[in-house]
Amino acid sequence: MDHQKIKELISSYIDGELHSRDKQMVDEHLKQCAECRKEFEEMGKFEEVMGKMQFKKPQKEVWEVYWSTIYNRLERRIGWILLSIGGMILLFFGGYKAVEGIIQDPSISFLLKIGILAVLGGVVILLVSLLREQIFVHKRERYKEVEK
Amino acid sequence: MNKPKDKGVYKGRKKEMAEEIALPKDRVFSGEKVQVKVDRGSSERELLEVAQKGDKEAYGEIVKRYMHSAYYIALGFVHNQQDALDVSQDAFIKAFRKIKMFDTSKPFFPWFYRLLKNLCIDHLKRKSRMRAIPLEDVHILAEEKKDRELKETLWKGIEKLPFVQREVVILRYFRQFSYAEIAELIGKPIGTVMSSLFYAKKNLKGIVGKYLGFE
Repeated sequence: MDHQKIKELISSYIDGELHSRDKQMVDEHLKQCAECRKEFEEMGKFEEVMGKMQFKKPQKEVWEVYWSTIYNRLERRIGWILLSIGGMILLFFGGYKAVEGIIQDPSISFLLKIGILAVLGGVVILLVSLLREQIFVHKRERYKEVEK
Repeated sequence: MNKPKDKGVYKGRKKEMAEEIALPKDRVFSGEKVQVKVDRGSSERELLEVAQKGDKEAYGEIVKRYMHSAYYIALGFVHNQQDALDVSQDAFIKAFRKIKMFDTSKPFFPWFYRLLKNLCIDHLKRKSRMRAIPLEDVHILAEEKKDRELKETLWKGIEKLPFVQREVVILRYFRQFSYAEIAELIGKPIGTVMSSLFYAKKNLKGIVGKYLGFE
């Protein structure tokens, strides 16, 4: 058996992840191979150090408010959606009223009316186009369920 | 010759996980149409099925079961406590939004882990923070202060590992997952986990060898 393979098995042996058959094979090899015995000892020391490495625990309060923070953010999302829908309705209604006012206002020159309406028309077309693109991309994205 | 690693070193996580699932008994959560009496014996599947109907309280129990693991794994990737907290909470929010797509016959955490990992990677890309974790975020017991330099070197070594090796090191040493659990989490065969860990250890052993008296 080559040393490289045994060394890989030693790593799993020390982690307690080796089947008894492989364990036995490693044990047999170690009895007669000084190089792999050295690897075993070094790996053991290394594991001891790694076993003591751990992250500092955060303040206890972090766990106490962990879920409530998520809950509040989920709740707020509904608020943001409603706010956005309301804002859009108000914006479109306001825009409609503004256009109506401009068309019916005799004091505004015809050329200015055309200019203002063209700007407003351009904004609406761009918004609709962006919205449609987003919906189209979402629908056609073959791998949207795949987490890349 | 050293004996194989004592499984006792993993008791810390086991105890922590036991605390994670120590839920108040006899709580009743009402879903839209379903009522589930939730106690510590409630299965993950029951909770997730209720959560899929939009019940946030049931989902909250899932969050409480996995928040420690989520936070510490995120900390391993994103390098500081506040970012780890934000990213892990973002992952739970994202998971709730996608919960209807989740197949409740499967375990929750591997599915959630993929969301979490992707958010961590996005976070790193966005912030370009491939710097080493501040040592203050790595817990060092008082009596081990003499080992500070060794651990600092070791952590810098972990930071420099290829992504997959770093990932398995975080899952193995900082959350004590078994090889089979790691394989499920990262979606790769156990053999890959085994060899990735071996090469990670080999790299790290080379870096800290002088501190441990290796030739």
